[in-house]
Amino acid sequence: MKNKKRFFSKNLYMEGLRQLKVIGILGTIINLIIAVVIPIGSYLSAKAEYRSYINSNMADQFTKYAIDAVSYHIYYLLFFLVFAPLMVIILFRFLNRREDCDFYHSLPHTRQCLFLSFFAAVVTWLTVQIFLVTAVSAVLYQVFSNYLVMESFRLFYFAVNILVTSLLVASALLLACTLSGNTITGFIVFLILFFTPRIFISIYQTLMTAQLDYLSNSMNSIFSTKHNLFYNILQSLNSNSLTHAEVASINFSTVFTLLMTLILFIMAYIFFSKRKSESAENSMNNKTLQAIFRTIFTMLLCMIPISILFDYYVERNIIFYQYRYDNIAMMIFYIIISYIAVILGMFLYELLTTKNIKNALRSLKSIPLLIGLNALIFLLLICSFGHYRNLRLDEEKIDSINILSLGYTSNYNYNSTSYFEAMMARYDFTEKELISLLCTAFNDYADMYNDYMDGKRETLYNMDFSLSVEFHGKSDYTFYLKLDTKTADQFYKLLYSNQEFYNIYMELPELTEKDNIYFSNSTEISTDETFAKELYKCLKEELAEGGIPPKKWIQIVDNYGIGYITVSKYIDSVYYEMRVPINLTVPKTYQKLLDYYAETHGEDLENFLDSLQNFEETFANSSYNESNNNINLDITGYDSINEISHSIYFSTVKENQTEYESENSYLKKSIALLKEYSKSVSHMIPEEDILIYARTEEENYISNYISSDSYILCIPVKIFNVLDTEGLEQQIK
Amino acid sequence: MIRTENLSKKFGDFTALKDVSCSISKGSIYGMVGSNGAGKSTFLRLINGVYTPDSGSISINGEPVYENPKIKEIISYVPDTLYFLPGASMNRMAKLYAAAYDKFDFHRFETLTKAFELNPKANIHSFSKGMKRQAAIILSLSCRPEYLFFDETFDGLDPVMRNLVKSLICKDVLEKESTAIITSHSLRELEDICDQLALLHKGGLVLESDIENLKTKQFKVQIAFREEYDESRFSEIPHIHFRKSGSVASMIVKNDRESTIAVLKSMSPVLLDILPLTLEEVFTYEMETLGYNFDKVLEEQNEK
Repeated sequence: MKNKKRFFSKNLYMEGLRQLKVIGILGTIINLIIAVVIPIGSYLSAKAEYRSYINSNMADQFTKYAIDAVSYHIYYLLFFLVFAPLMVIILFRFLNRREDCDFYHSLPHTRQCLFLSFFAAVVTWLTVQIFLVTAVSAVLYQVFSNYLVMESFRLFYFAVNILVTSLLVASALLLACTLSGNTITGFIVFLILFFTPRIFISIYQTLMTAQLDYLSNSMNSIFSTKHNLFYNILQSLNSNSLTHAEVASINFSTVFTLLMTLILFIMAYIFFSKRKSESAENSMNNKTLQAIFRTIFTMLLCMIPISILFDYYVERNIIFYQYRYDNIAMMIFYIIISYIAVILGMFLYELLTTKNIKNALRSLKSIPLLIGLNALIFLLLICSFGHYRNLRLDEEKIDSINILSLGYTSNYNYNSTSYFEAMMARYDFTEKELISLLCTAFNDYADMYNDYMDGKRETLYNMDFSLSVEFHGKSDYTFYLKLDTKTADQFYKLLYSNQEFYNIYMELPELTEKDNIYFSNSTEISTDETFAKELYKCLKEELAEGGIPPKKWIQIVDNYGIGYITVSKYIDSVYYEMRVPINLTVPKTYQKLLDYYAETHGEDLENFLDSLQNFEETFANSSYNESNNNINLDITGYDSINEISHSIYFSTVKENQTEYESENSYLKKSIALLKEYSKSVSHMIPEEDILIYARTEEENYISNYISSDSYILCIPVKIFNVLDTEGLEQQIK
Repeated sequence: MIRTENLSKKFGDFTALKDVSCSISKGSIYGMVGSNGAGKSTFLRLINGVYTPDSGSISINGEPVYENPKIKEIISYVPDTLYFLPGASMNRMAKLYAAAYDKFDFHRFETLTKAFELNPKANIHSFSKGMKRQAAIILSLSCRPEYLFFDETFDGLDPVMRNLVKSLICKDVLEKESTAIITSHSLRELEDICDQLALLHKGGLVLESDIENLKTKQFKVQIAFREEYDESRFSEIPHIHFRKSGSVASMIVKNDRESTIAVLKSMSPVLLDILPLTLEEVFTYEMETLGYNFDKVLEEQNEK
């Protein structure tokens, strides 16, 4: 019997399950309802859309709804934000009441047995809730798979991560309950336990990165919020598919969070085993713990004056900031006020948690300790800052680099889902010359930055080319690099000499069923997915033929085109966005697009002229008071030899008669100019290769009613050249 | 057999128990009286393994109690402040007890519930104070314990129920040789049920004795002589209290009754009465010798 009840009791475990029955069943029902409603809602929505496609005879263009495991199961947050804490509170609330605590400790079980059996009940209910809901949801999405697509295994991975996160919260709360003896202290201790490490880390990172702009925000730290599922899942609420994929995968963050959970759980287990029953209704288990948590809380407040002091210390020689520290007395005043607030905060903490004025007064005795800790933290910050400031890269010790982002701005998105950027970030560059160049660039910039901080130079060079690079060697570093123009040129020269780098851009990926593709342009011309796929295939083949200079293609990616192919490429549960322009850099694809325009939307000349005339007539006959109409004519011609596009955009607003007349003449001039232009280029290239792409548009703003209509004209130049606009011109006159 | 040696327990600066040593034999009913804060509840919690002592030792059947499920399995404890699950009925509480105690006897639970005329399906929190206490006693007795600890258990019980509980305790003690420890403010509650009585005062055990011994070894003597006399005349008779009013003196004697009577008769008194003491009187006089006016305390308790 002794061994049986020392660590685990089945009966006590069953009792725990019974005590959690209400919250367990309630939680399961609530989540099951949501788990049923969302798939059905999505199914009905998709089905309705499918029917609308059928009605439009476009059933083949219908694409199934892609269900993101995280976005569609965001209610799983309830498990770790509501149900896990509630279950712990319900089952372990006896720790906060003396008679309840005495009762449970009078039972013939060891404290370990009580702890483990009850915690097992919490784990069981959470597991049952999460996986029952997950199973129902997965089955429903499977049933509706004609309209909805979801990777069920991702949902189960997400469920595992939710369970791990729930256990993390439960363990932290349990540790807080074990350490404390009343609800208020328990809540404060939980907040301190759960959030203080993150707050300290964030303050540290902010202080360092704010002063050394080449340090990346994550500082390559294991303590990145990415590794903690709790923060990562919460961040995924307002994040991209990359973060969603992270939290729907079993990866390092799962292991890290599980490890954190285990540490907190073991601590809770130890403290629970040693916890005296008489601790209930006291602030903390003992005076030492009370002092420790009070000190942690106070040190958190102390970070405000420490940050002020730290900023002053590191910025004191920067010439640009001299004005800020002219009035030292003011700064000292702020620091003194901050420390008075800190002492007051400490006093209130002790008063609130122990409800004893004597204890609150006694806590003031720890001020010398706080002074010591403040000095220690300040020194550690200075040392850490000194370390990063003096850090230089030895190219011999760097084996490879990953270029995380390229750009002319310092806006660096660590979680980029740009296809090309993400593929580039995955590639390990090992070329010594490139490594040497970037190491030297970093070292030079760091030297210059040091001089700037020491007041040896007034400003930093304006180096507006920046990139983010991971250096891998014995140690790994991530830095923002700032390059001057000369170094940037060298860098690109080396980059362009790398075939793998080219391949990332020149070898477009094959599309799979999970990928999404569409074509977009600035007109009302609509294209279907089939055409988008054809165009993408054409582009892929054209790039693979190798006739296009890679450097040129890389430079124009994301640049201007008369249309864009956007691909959501699915790789390892992440949709990476690829948006490539269609312009004269890829002439075959460009031609294909114009052919498509001409074939599907090209109208005969007379129709075009009629429509133009109609616009004019409508415009001329409408009175000033009745309407405020626009007529837009957008005519673009492309010169494939000189790679120049010419656009004439005509727009008129009938605000007064004078302007109207003026705009009319501009219309005539525009058409004449375009004719001249097309004539001027037609002798250089076969006439049939040039298309005039024109668009007219009318918008009526009458009584808040907006209507627009547009006509697309795609005609060969040879036809345009003989275009007789005389009649039109006469009418306009 | 319960044995404590130099048991001490402090809560912060407050000493709840100090060097309490006692020995409670199996199959006995041990009464413990004392004023508020004397340490009765602390003593019970200590021997029940709820608290761990700061110093000293506790053993039941020769084994320590704290974190010892084997021993705690044979103990049942009814505290002064009762615990019931929120919204629980007696049936629900029985399940909780059954989860904790392997020997929980549902049959006895049902029998006792009927005997006490309690509704096992009703919410305990709707019960009166006395009914709640009855419920706790039923649950406790249903665990079939070898050791029963009752803290202020008779508070709130009407006389009928009080007698019923007492008879149940006595039955368990007689039939199964169980051991019971009952604490109370009131000596009258304990004198008709306990075999042994102990007096706790300010954390210390100031008196511990068999009831019979207490009653027979102390008695009151009223005596008078024709001639003048004072207390020195009785110097050879052990006594703890002496008062003379006119020619009549009264004193509390702690001695063998027969030999004392023989000595006193040899003094040729004109009046000699030997009167038995109530337990309250015994305790009052004992406490007086300790410099504590126990009389007042008892009076206050009785008034309540």
